[in-house]
Amino acid sequence: MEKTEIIEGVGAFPVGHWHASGSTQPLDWDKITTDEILPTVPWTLEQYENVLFCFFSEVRHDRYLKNTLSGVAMPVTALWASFSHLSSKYEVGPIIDVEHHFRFFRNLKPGESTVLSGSITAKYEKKSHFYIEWETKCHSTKKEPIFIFNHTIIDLREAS
Amino acid sequence: MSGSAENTEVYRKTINCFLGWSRRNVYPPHPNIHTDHHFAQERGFDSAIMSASQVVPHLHEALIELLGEQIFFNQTDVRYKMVNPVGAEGSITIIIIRQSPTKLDLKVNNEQDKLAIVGVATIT
Repeated sequence: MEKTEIIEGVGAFPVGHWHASGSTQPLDWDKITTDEILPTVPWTLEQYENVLFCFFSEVRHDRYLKNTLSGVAMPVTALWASFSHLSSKYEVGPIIDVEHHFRFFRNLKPGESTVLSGSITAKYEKKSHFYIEWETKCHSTKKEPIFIFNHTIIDLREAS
Repeated sequence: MSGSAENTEVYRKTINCFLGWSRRNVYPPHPNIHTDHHFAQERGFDSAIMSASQVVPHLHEALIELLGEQIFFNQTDVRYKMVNPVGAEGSITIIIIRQSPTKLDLKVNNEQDKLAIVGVATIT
């Protein structure tokens, strides 16, 4: 199949990857351990990012489009935060998203300062697929819980 | 929530699929299963697939529409598995069935009526 040439840097879209940095290490399924603590990192979802996620998902609702403090973050931003949280420690390769388990304690407000924390909760091999599970907790800077997100993925690099 | 009987379908909506993952997105780098048909086929898919992060917002919206913001963002535990991929063409149908006053079964079917996402929402 013919590949389309990409002009490097043009339109590069880093939204949703708040915690990746040059210091992260490639995710190595063999070395990752259950109960391993993931870094505790600050996270702020800006309103323009919330709107971009609406556009990206083809979801439109006024609750997400208000440019005020009464705005509401799309629930899927918790999924992006979870993934970004894992990326604060590991450079993740190709994956398949398998399972989401989450609960909000209140809605997240775009622009508010929060903290993400959590750990690797399981890793296992099943039918030659390499699974990783982790948990991300989001709370306000006053330690008020906002959401908890449990995420399961298959690491495709190991399977390929 | 409308209706009162148990095991009742309380929500059904069909949406068109789409492939909206930019090849210039930072992660995952192109080529990937959302941007490159050949890459996806090498990994067992028929073609490039929709990202879960583009499908599940529609399931979340269905729950908010059904339950209201107050209940969804304060009292609802949501859990689902992606059991089959969603291609970029055709449509998906979101179906919610009330099993009890506090338990909802969640399903997303693809255009062939094959289950793509299955889960449960529990109101606590």
